[in-house]
Amino acid sequence: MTTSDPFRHLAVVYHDADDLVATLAPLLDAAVTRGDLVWAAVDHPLREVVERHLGDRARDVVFGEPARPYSYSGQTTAARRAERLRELGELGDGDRAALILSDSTTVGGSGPRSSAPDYWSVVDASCNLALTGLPVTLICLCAAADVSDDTDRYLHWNHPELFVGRDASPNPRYRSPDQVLASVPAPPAPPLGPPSEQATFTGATALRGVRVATRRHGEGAGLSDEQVDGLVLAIGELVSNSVEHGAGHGTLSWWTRPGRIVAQIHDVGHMTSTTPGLRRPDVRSARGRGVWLARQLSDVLHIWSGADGTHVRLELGA
Amino acid sequence: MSGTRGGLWVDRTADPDRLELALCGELDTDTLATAQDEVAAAEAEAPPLLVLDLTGLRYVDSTGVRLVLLAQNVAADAQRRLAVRLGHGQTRRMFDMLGITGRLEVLDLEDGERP
Repeated sequence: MTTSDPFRHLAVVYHDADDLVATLAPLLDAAVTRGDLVWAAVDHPLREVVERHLGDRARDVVFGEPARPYSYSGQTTAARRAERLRELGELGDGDRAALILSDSTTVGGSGPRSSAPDYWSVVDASCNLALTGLPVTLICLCAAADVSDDTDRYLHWNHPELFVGRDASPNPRYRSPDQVLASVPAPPAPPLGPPSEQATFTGATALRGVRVATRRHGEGAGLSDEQVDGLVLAIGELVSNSVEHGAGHGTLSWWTRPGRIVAQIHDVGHMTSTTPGLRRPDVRSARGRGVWLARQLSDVLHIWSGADGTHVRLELGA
Repeated sequence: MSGTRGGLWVDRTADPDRLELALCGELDTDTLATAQDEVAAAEAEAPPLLVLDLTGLRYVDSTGVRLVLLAQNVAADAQRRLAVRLGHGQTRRMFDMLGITGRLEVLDLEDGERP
């Protein structure tokens, strides 16, 4: 991260909740006093301690996770955080900043993988891309009792600053998101069973037919007109990406039920980037917008590579 | 009408002070070359103002954004004006989402609207 980047990402390992809040009090108090957006994604015991510390000022704190509902996709969690923060905090349009407290035991929800260190690592590395440029201070909280070898490694890899005692210090073991995601890549999405429809596409001339099929699936699922338009654009961008930058051909599979649609694109190419569509595109850049757009237009977008190529899963609807 | 190929065609309107290209059909990776050829031909005429009208497109993705930004760069280098018409549907939403609308001269903003 450059020194000019307003985004800060810190981690703190804590032994008890009262000590944690005492450590964070200067940042917390300053954020509340300034009127920053303060978001605490913490469990109930920590929430009680934060509320006790802030007293009446706690009414200005939003408790919960910006990225709810959770999914299996750490990329999506990071992208949602960025989107919700932009929407709710009007960040970047003025002087307002945001402080997020994120308890690693709550990120990802209550599923069996939700607290797995590698999931947390994907979320953190993805946040380092998705939140860059935003006036956000993200503090990841890790209970000392939960620190394993993996947790400790990923904590050091993903946080440019760590609390040592009561002070935040630069972390010399920090790694770039590209490095982290190359070492701890996004896992495959959960299996879905046979698709309701599957088709192949080859070359740019296939794009019009892909859009026609996409509109049919979106309308068939009963999505709104705006959702269908967004779905057509998102799938169009992703298939176009596969054609231009992947193998040039692939398959598009659909799982459709009333109100919900899942699409998955597969091609035998391999991504050259570990960080697809997480960083908001530079407004001056002529290229590199398609995957980011697809993320904004979907509820879940998960991209992973394996020995058989690259997979992109998009989910939209309730 | 000129430049008919595949799913994209371009209608030209020329006045002494402006040249307007109305893109119609669908703009994507497959048809981008057609659009780029038309824009390049228009730029070669050095109009004081070049207008790219995207409101007639049934579909446009980020290749449309690329087309507009590249044309804007050419116009800026030549100290000419480039303006766009984006409509008020999916095309406009895409440009807004990308934070680009405010960086363009948009001719079809509604009264009192800020990009």
